[in-house]
Order: sequence, then C-alpha cells, then structure tokens
Amino acid sequence: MTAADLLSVLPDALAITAGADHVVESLSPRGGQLFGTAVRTGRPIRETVPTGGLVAALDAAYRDGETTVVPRGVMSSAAVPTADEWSFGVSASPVGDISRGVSGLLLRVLADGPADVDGSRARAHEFQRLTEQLSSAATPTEIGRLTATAAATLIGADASVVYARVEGEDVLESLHHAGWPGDTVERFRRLPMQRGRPLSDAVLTGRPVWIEDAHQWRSQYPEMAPVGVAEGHEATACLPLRVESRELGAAVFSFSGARAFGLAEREFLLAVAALCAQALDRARLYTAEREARAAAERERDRMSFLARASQLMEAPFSVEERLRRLADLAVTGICDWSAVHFVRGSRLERVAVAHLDPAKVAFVEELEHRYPPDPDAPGGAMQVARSGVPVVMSEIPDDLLVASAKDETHLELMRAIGLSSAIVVPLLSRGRSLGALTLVHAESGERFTDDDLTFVGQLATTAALALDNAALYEAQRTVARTLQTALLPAELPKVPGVRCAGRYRPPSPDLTDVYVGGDLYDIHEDVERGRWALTVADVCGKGPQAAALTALIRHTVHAEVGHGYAPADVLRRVNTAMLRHHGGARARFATMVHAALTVEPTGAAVTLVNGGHPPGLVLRGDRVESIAVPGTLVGVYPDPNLTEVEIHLAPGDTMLLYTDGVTEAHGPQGFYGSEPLEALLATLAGESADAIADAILTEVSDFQCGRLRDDVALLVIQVQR
Amino acid sequence: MNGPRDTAPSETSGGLWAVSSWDSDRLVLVLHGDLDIDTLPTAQDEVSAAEGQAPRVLVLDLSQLGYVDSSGVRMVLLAQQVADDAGRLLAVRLGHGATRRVFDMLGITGRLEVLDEGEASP
Repeated sequence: MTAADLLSVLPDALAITAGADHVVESLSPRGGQLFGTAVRTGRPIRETVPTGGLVAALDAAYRDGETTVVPRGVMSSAAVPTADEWSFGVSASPVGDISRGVSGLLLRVLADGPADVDGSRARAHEFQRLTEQLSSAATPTEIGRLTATAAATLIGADASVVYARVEGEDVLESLHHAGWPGDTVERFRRLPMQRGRPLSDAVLTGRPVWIEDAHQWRSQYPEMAPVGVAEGHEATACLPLRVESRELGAAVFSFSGARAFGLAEREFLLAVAALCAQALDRARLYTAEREARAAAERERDRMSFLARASQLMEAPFSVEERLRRLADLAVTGICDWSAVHFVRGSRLERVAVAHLDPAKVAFVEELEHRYPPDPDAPGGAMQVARSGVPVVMSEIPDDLLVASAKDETHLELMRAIGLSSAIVVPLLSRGRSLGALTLVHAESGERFTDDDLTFVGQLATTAALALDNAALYEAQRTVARTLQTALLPAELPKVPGVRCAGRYRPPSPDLTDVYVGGDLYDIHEDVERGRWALTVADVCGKGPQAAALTALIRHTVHAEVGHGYAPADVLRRVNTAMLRHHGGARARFATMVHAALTVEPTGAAVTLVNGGHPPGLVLRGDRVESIAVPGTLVGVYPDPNLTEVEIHLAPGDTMLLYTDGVTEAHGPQGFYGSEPLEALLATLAGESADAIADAILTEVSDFQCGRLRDDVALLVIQVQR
Repeated sequence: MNGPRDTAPSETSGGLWAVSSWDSDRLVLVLHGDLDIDTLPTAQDEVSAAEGQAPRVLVLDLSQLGYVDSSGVRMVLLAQQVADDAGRLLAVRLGHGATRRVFDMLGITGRLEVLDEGEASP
C-alpha cells in the first residue's frame, strides 16, 4: 500500500512524512485545508512549523515508533503564517516496515478533541496493524475475519459480519461472522439483495447506513427491526465495501444498546471498510488470475492429452490394446477411474478399465465377477451407448448405489470404491454408437461438470474414429481374404501318378493397402480328353478390378478347356474375353502360363503356352531347365503371338510354374532374380512337390525379411517315380 | 539429345525423375531411377505432361531406369494407346538390360517402336 493509498482510504488522514525532519511526502486535501500554507509537500515540517508541540510530538513518534497525539489547542504557533489558530488535534503514527524501522509518520486529524486522545491513538495503532495483516491475507474469508475482529476489538462492536457479493449475482454471502445471537447467522448466511433493507441499501447506494438505536430501527427499517434489535442489539453500522464502482459486499457491526456514532468512530469504521474493500478487490483479482492460470494450464494439459490420445489411436496396436492404453492414459491426470465399453450386438463388453492402483482394478474386476453389472442401469455405459446421449453426474448420489446394489455386501463394496463424480460419453462414429467411454472421479474429490463435456467428447470422438477405421479395415480385409480364397482352388485335384503343390502368399498387410491380389494358380481336369489343365497367371495391378480380371481368367480357362481347345487357343480366348471385358482399354493386362498335362506310362506329356509370363523351370535330377517360350501378354493386343511347346516329364521330374513375386522379390540385397531360383531348385532335387513349394516360399520370404511387397503364386508338378 | 530447351530434372518422389527435351519434332522424355507401383503416379504425370505438348513423336526413354516392373509396362501400353488414338507415334528406348528383358519376357518388344533395337549392346 502506497502513501497515497493510505491517504485516500483514511478520511481523517492529513499527511505522510518521511525521515527525521518530517519531510511532507504527500498531503491529503483535508490536510491542505487544515494546515493551510504552513505545511507543504516536499518541505520538512521541522522548518515550516518549528515551534509548538507538533514537532516534538512528531519527533517522539518517529523516535519511539509509538503513536503520539497533539491535542487541540496545543498546536498554535506564532510562526504559523495563517492568522487562525489551529483548532484541531493531530495524531502521528509511525509508518514503515517494522523490521527496518520507522521511515515516516502518518498524520491524522483528531476530530473529537482531547477526550478521545487515547482512543484515537489506539485506533491509529490498530489501523496500522490491520493494514499490515490485510496486505498478507490472501483469501476473502481471512480478510473478512481480520476486518470484523479489528473493528470489534477497537470499537467494541458486539457482533460483526462481513459479506461478499457473489460475482454476477444480486446475492451476498457471509465471509466471516462473530457474536450474533441464535440462528441469525444461519438465516443470513446468504442474502438476496433487496432495497429497503439496511445492508442492501448500503451496498446498492454505496453509502453507509448508520442506525443508532431501536427507535431508528423502527422508523427507518420497520420490517427488519425485529432482527436488528434482537437480544438487546440496537446500534448498527452497515458499511459498503467498494472499490471504484465495484460493489464487493458490505460489513455490518452491531452493538448492544444504543450508541451515537461519533465522527471519529464513523471515520475509523469507514477507513476499516475501505481497507477491507481494497483487500477483497486484490484477493478477487488474485483469485481470478489464479483461476485463469489454472484454466489455461488445464486446457494446455487437455490439449496435450488429446494429442497423446490421437497418437495412441494411430499406434500399431489392436483396437482393444489402443483402448486399454487410452484408459490407462486417462487416469494419469484426467480422472481416477476410466473404462471403455463396446456394443457387441445386444451385449455390452467392457474392453478396458483403469486406475493407477492395480489393486483397485483387481478389486473392481472381482466385484464385477461376483456381481455382474446390470447393463440397463440408468446413466450406465449401455444406456449412453444406446441413446448416444452423454451423461454427466457431477455427484454420484448414494441412492444410485443403493438402487444398483444386489445386496448389502455389494452396496458396502461399491461404497468402498468411493466414486464421487462421473461422465459417460458415447463413442459415436458416422451417427452410429460403437460403445461408451466412462471417466470417474473418486478419491481425488474432483467433480465433472457440463463444461467437461466438450473435452471428454473430443476424446471419445478420437477414440471412436480410430475404432471405426479399424472396423472398416478389418471388414475390408475380410472381404479381400474371402475374394482371394474364391480365386484359388480350395484344394488341388488328385492327378494320378503326379504330385501337385500350389501355394499362394499375399503381400504383407503393412506394405500394401487392403489387398486383393491378381495372382492365380489352378489345376483342373479335362474329363473328356483325359487331360489336366495347369494355370498360373498374374494380373497387373491390385484391388477389386484386378480380382475381377483374375476371376474372369480362371472361369474362361475352365470353360474353354472344357470346350476342348488347345492351350494356345485357350489363351487367345482369354485374351479376347479380357479385351471385351475392358472395352478396348489396354491398361489391364495379365501374364499367364497355361498347359495341358497328359499322364503317360513313361511320365507326363505337357503342352505349354506362355503369354508374357516368367518362364517355367523343370528339374531333372539336379539339373534345371528353363522353359523359354516366347509369347505376348494377354488382354492388350487382339492378335497375341502364342506358341505351344511340348515338354516331357520323366518319373521324378519336377516342373515349377511361378509368378514374378518370386523373381522380382526385392530385399536388402536387391532383386532376387531367376538365377538364384534356378540354383535353389537344383538343391531341392529329390524333395517332394510340397517340400519344394515350401522351400521356395520360405526363401522368397526370407530374402525380403518376411515382408512380401508383391503376392506370390507357385505351382509344383512332380511325376511320381 | 539434350538441347537448349531441356527442362530441369523434375524433383520426384521415390527415386524417379525425368528430363524432357525436343529433338526436331520428337519430344524425348528420359526417365531415371526406379519405375514401380510407388513411382508410377509421378511417371504417369510426366508422360501426361509430355503428351499434352502433342509431339508428332513421343519418345519414352526407359533405358536409364534402374528398375521397371509391370507398372512401367502398363504406362507404356497406355501411352501407346493415347498415341494411337491421337494419330501420333510413340517410340521407346529400352536399352539392353533389365528393362529390355522385362519387355521381351512380356512379348511386346516387337509391338512397340523400339529405337535402340538394332544398336549394339554397350
């Protein structure tokens, strides 16, 4: 508090001096009026008023650190230029930091003459003490207590109460009270402001209301008189607490019996009220600032929490694991308990429950095991998930526990968890409710309010989106797997005298989008001609369009083989069917190798045609031959060059047909290529068709560190010895 | 082949970049790097931009590519179709390495105007 502040809140203040010569630091308007020109700002009183009792009193106060008084009449001096004798008394109270000593004096007028000297001195002293105390009081309650106590001890008030105005409302709330009879305190703890009542009038008009006796009560405030004069109380001072135009509240002091409020007393009480108001205003600002800071910090924490939650939702975990981690994250600062529930048909499945203390989680799990929760409980996850409407329970009423308890023990156990406040929000995605997110406060004693809905809603949206994406992804993968399965033979037919092995491996899910491959292998019987049709094909591109072409190829081959066409003609018909299928656009092509196999007593005769496909390999003993036969890819040109070759497979010989997912495999050492494949096949001499197929798949997979970029199809045909 | 109208190499993704230049009435687009499913969109953009200039002959030079898979073949087939439809010509340079082998295996080298077919292997 500055000197100027002091002068402004003390109606009887005259001046503030500094130093041993009492240099006038500031002079109140009233000081200027009373002292006249004898006392001037910036000039030492020792020089301007050298004689008389004033300087001596100032010296004593300055030296001893005690309030001194110069009664009226003692202060006259011939040296004073004004002709009038000073007809007022002055008190001088030391100011300054107690620990560092007196730095100056506060001069105040003694309005009531010499008789009040002692009172004035005590009041000045008390006032100074109150100033110091209020400057360190932080809470409105503490300020109220100090104000009421100071006034009561100094003026002898028998009861006191300090009210603060509830921000934004016409309501006063008691901060501190003392000495009131009976149930007065309870009745007036919270007061709506109402004109025509002394306290409200004081607040609303900004002017103090002084009631000195029972008569004044009855004449001015007849309605309130019974309260005002209860149990011998009569004189009452209602003082507004204001800073500038801010109505902060009011202080009320009540006295037993009648009392005439003297000028000094009125001024003292008003000064106390002014001090109190300033302290309240400071506390209000401090509180507002602290709340704003806390709100900003909470907002920042929540934003960072949301960011972490979003990251979590993109992490490479299963949906359940992500939600478990989300629940774990929530209890690190948002709430004490958290849970996530999924709707699965008509059931509600709890996928996560979290608390920082694992023992408590275990307790709840045991509890839910013993007492399976009622899915239809009001405000429960199921209700919220079904309705899509969030529920905020700022307080979890005991009634709710009683209602949902199965028996006394259950109730006791539920009470023991100490749930105090909860918020349940639906996990909504594209208008569909997938489940619910539940956050609960317990031992922290915190409360959720409607204000928290936005944040918790954002959190639920983040979770629901991830959940929905994951569900879509799973659904697509299921479709892809189903489609892929439909494109491949469920099992290869048994060809007498020949062992066959087919393999298909899709690309690694993390290296591709949802994938339906274009690779195909197939063996089917041409019953009429006693032959077997072998096919390995690779449609350029991926996805549903590629899958459609793969299906077209497979079914066209089946049909044309059934019509008795030779392999090259089968391919030409596939070529025509593809051209017809995509109406002249060349974008989609396929490569394929197709053969007709006839089992013979000496082995197998194979008539093979290759439409732009990687050449097949034949393993004879430990020698590998490449079936290099030129041919045009299918699906682009109306007149592909296709040449049939005849291959004889002796008993023990193995033919390998494959897609470029093998030879074009790309790993840390570059491309796999056809030579390593031939070398590998040579090492597999004597192995079964299945063993050869598996060995090649393993090698291709290992070459790419287990992560296939392209799909792979293999067909191994081995003539039995 | 590089003349004053050369463009700066286009900065492209996934290790594929292109340089185009005019050689009389031919627009030559030289692709460098790897051409596969990942870089196909970039390559396709370059080819479309070249087609947009309506050269009498568009030369796609694939001989400088480190790698080309069926995606690149598909791109060439599409470009050939565009040229056919517009009454213009598409020619390719395939070099004598892996790119050439890919086109050979697919049986389409004979169906494309291959400029470096008769040249000796380097």
